[in-house]
Amino acid sequence: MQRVFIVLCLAAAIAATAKPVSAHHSFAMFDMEKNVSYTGVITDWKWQNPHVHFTVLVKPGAGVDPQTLGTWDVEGGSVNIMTRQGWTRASYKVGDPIKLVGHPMKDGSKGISLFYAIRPDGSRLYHDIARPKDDVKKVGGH
Amino acid sequence: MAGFSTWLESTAISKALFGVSWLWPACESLHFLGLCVLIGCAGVLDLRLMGFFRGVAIRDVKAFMPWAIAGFCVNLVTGALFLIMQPHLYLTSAVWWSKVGFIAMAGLNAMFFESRLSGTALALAPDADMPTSLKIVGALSLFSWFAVLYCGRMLPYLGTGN
Amino acid sequence: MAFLRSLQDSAFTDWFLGSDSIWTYPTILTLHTVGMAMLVGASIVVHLRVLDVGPGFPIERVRALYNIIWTGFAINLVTGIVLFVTEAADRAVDPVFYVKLASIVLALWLGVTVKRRVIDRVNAPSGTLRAARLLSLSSLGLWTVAIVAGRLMAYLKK
Repeated sequence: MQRVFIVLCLAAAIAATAKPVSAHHSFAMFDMEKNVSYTGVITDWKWQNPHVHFTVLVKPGAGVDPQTLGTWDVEGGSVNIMTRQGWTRASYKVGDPIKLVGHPMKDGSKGISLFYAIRPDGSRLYHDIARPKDDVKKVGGH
Repeated sequence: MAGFSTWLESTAISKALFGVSWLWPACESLHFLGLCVLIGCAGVLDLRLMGFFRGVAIRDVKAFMPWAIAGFCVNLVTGALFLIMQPHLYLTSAVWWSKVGFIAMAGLNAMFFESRLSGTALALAPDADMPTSLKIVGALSLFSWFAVLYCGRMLPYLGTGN
Repeated sequence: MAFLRSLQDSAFTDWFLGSDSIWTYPTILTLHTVGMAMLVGASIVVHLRVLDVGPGFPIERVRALYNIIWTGFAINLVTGIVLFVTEAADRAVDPVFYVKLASIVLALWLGVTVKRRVIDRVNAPSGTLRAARLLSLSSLGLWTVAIVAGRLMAYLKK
């Protein structure tokens, strides 16, 4: 009986650690050094804890950086913290245009850690309290 | 604090550590394990001081304290790593500083017990009533550690500085 | 599966996860952590005792810790169900979730076995405690797996 349990324990331990990480943003990292601008359209909007998620479709066009083309999964913070930064459930919805600055995934997969969105009037909706190092209010952020 | 936080986050060590993709999640797991060991082992002593487990000598409950301390050390180290990797999440957060405050409260309480009350406690007969002073020390300790847990878990929701 | 999907896409889920109140998701999550500290914390003390830490602590008095274990388990069963409902469809196909549940069930089963064989047994033959040590060690290992799996789940969310 004890042998059965040792085997089961080992199996569980191995299974837990060896499971290939297959979901969007497992342990792969965002490149926090890079601030990249994306201009696109919201294709999915998930206003929910523990992380607000939305997807942005960037289509080719004049002045659009080719590296930003495609459908991106943008990760924000908790509903509570984003609310304090001025976000609401109604800030964006599917079909809305959006301009944002964020940190892309290091491995090139289409994920972004949200830094801030830029409202039509030029003001910013930050993810949390982190602010640009130089605090220069420029749209573009390269 | 915000300036220090920005500087710390710009250091090579901060970037190097945060750049190891599995380190943050590994620290989280260790931090949760550490808190279970700490709260379990310190908690049983706290409960004894509060008067539970009557008949068990305090000396025999204190035997679990080295494990509680080990749990605390794991959390101190993993906590320091979180702080170095992402200081902006903590250094300007009232919730985080409250957590630090409750840790200090637990620590000071423990030091007070060790220096002033330990002798009395160890000399008590196993089935004696607990003096009020020991009950307060035990209750304060247990409360503090759960307050630490609360602050820590609520940080991403109560606020990381805003 | 459609039922699980309807739970995950329900109005309750939308309200619960989308609310900016700390009394919804954040509080349930924190209660889950409190339950874990009670359930696993008390289990750790039980099994450390079986493994000879605090040998002067009478083994039969360890029984009282099971009240804390079951209270912690009850808190986590309730909060766990609430959290599961909000991700029912995704979790149902997540192997790590099953590893977590299996580890918990096995760890608890071992804890109950240790209680039956050692803690509750009056006049147990000598060597009973020693024989139970492997069960306690395994239980501690399984609690570790459960906690790691729980953390991993957060990283494998859709």
